[in-house]
Amino acid sequence: MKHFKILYNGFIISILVSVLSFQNEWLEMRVNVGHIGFAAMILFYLSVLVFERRTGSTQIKKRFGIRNSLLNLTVCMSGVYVLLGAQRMAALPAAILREAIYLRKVPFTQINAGVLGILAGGLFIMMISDRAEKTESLTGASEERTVA
Amino acid sequence: MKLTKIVKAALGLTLSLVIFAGCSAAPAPAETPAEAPAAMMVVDKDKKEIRMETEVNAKYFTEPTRHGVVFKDGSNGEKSVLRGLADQFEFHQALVDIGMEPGNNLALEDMKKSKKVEGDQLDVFVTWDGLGKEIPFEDIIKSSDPRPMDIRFGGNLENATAKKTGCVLCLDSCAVGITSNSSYATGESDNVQFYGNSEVLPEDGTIVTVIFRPHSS
Repeated sequence: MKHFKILYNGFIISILVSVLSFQNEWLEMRVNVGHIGFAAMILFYLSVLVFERRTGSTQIKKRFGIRNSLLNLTVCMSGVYVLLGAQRMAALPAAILREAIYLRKVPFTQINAGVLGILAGGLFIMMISDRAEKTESLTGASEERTVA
Repeated sequence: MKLTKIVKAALGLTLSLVIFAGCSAAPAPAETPAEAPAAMMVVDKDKKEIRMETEVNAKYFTEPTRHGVVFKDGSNGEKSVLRGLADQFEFHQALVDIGMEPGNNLALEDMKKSKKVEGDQLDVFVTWDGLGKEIPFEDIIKSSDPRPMDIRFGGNLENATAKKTGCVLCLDSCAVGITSNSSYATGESDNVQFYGNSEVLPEDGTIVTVIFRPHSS
């Protein structure tokens, strides 16, 4: 679940990074900016894992819980909205993603539905996961108390 | 423990659904009858007419571009209002076959020197299923500085071969595009913005036929 949470947050960041890259005309004309987004996602994922290993942090799972993921989603999507506005936001991220995965015939509506599905589904999974972990830690604590 | 299993099952199910959705959303195989190579460009030497099949890329309804038509497999294939389904080299040959003379007056160094493309003048029209008529190519383009289009057979075969951009029709004078618009000098697209006209063009992915003929005065 830890890896899912990191990748989910990396995906959100990748959307913002792709849109930011698109704003640079030189990059947009020469590079598939969707691939820059994918690279950012992988870089983010690896950075978090390296950070975890180096610091010995045990908080990664907690830090990428539903609350912070929702915050990340809100901040990144607000950034995309400020950069593009509503009309462009409906087409550009979908166009970038479509270009990145070489599915030129898939309509923007389908791409947008897929992205929304991933974003909402991811949050839902994280919500269940956070609850499960909370329940487990509570059960564990009460079992420990009983044993004591 | 039970809840963790439920979460894992939900995650597995979601991933399966995403993969399934991705697969089902994937386009039909490239070699559908509509995309058979022979149908992508029709050259009528007697009528002196070239008809090229293209697809609308709605990305450029809201984003600016200097590319009108680019071959889908060129490096700029996703950067044009219309994605060409026939390649730029066949198109160049087709223009020669209908008796057009290329200008070949622009070098790559001229791209910032405000020069205008030369070569035989072309009348360019578009049509698509359901439209029932041909309309001028300039009707499907919106410009921040509108001018009547003056499409020229620039040629540029050497640069087109070296750069492999796939450019068929550029919206301002260009040293790489096989044809380009002489109404705007090279480099003018730095200040002028071009968009696909969403009020005229059909929806994203629709097949649009672009028709090239020698200019009739």
